[in-house]
Amino acid sequence: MKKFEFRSDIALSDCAFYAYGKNLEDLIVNACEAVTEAMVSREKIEAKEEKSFEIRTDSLEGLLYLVLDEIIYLKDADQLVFCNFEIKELEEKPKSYFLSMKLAGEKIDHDKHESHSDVKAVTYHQFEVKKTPTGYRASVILDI
Amino acid sequence: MRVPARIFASPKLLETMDKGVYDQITNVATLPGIVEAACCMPDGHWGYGFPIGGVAAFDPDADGVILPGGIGFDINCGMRLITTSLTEKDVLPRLHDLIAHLYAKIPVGAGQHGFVRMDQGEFRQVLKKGAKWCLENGYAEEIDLEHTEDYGRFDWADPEKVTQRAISRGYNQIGTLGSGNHYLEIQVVRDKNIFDKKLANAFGVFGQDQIVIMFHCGSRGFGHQVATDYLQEFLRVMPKYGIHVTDRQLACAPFNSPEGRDYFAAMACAANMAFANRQVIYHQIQKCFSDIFGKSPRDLGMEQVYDISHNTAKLEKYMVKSKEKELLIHRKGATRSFPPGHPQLETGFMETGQPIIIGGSMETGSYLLAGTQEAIEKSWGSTAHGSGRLMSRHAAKRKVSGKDLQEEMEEKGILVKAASYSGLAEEAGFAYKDIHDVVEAVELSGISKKVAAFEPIGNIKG
Repeated sequence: MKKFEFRSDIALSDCAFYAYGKNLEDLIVNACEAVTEAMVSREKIEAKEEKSFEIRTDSLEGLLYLVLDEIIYLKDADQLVFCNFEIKELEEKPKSYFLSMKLAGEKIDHDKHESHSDVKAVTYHQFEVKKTPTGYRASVILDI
Repeated sequence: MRVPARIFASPKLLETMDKGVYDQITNVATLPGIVEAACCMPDGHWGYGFPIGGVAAFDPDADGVILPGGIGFDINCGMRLITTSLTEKDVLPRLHDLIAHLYAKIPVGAGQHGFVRMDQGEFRQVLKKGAKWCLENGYAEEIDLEHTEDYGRFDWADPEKVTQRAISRGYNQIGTLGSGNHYLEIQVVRDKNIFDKKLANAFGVFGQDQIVIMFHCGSRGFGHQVATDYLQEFLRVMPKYGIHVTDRQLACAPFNSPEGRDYFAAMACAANMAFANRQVIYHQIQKCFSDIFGKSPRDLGMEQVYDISHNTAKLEKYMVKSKEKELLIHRKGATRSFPPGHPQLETGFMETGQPIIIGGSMETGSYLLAGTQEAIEKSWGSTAHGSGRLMSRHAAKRKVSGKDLQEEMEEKGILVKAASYSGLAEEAGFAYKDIHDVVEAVELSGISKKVAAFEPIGNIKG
């Protein structure tokens, strides 16, 4: 199964992608990888520093939005990009989602990591998490 | 739709305008409290929620709303134009060194620290004071502020309305250019490209292969986080105000609600951060030019023509049905276009109208224009902000490699240094509408007046 694919047909100024996953954990990790790829080439990122965070929210889409917002936040606040995205805990209840994640990566070094775009934000335009026959698909547009 | 949509474009531009613009401007026209018409400028293209190039006025007394999606994530992203007394002949022999030096001294691309270091307490002062903080700290002269939209400060800014998350994300980014369509360009003014000599001279533009500098950047991660935080807040409170929107990116709150006012004050902080960011970058550019040419900025004739904002919401007064009303004007990827004598104009431009800087793609050049009365009457005192995209970033990258583009541009006499080859390819000239068509459309519709055009010879980008 493809992890993610960038789309060229919509949102001209921005960066649109589909992320896929056979389950929710998979989908979240693959969407995090897509956002990272939109920022830098991931191939040389090494696991030198760790970051953990928790999110509690009331919708599945809200959960994915906040995870991706965290990836973008850490790029600016700590200049970090990540290669490992580990889900420690994911709890799904009606109108209640809890996620605990651990990330590993390193500070951006333009000589080492080929720079792509300085992603500004996740937009809600056409933002969607959908159940498919094979798992999940998320539709995301990032503001570049 | 509560009001009609009004698109400013020539037949040629209309043909290439993407479908997203029509859908999105229609959605804007359904928002509560919108007045008269939802406008789209000739460089309009598919954005998120609002189209890029969208302009809308909301009446605070008629439940008019404020919305982050109508301003954009990059709050007060804007353009600054600087003139010099150097000519192309002076600069060409040193162009490689100049571009390399600017690239070394002004951080570009993702995840960069700014060259101005400060703690979070000092950063809050920047959020309150904007370019005035730069004046107090040796990064500006009085004349720079006089030549900046709103004197480089939205005075209703309140740092208390900003989250700690936004401050942590952005306090280290004062003095960074960013990426995407953010760039710094060295340009030449040919005699043939002066269209209104009197206005050009009044703005300090004289032709004779004069060198000017133009750059484009905004409020960086700080502004992006302010918009993200309030977008979520507005999604939470909309049901309380009985507001339903067709696209969540249009999440909004009544301007005269506590949440609406809080966002207005937080957005102003981001606008002030952007003014300060562009001011310190200007200061750094002055130092770089001095290093390369061995003269002071004054001896190099460096003067700021103007600094304009693209992504803002501001209270402005307009005549509506023969009555003066204070309206909240949202401009997303659009430029203010105030005419001579406008009471809210900076005093130095009362005779000329405000300068308008429209940046083209890296390959096609840029324009200087002036504000007009017709803009007040037709487009909420607004005009275009750039050439507007024609092709998505992803499609552009598939068509050309950044390295090939860099070589092609160098052959054409434009030296480019970029943090990202893929980012460079995304900004290729063919990905944009023709800037000359956009400028023709704003001039024909009367919403601004053409003054001069500039040709690029050097560019740095993220």
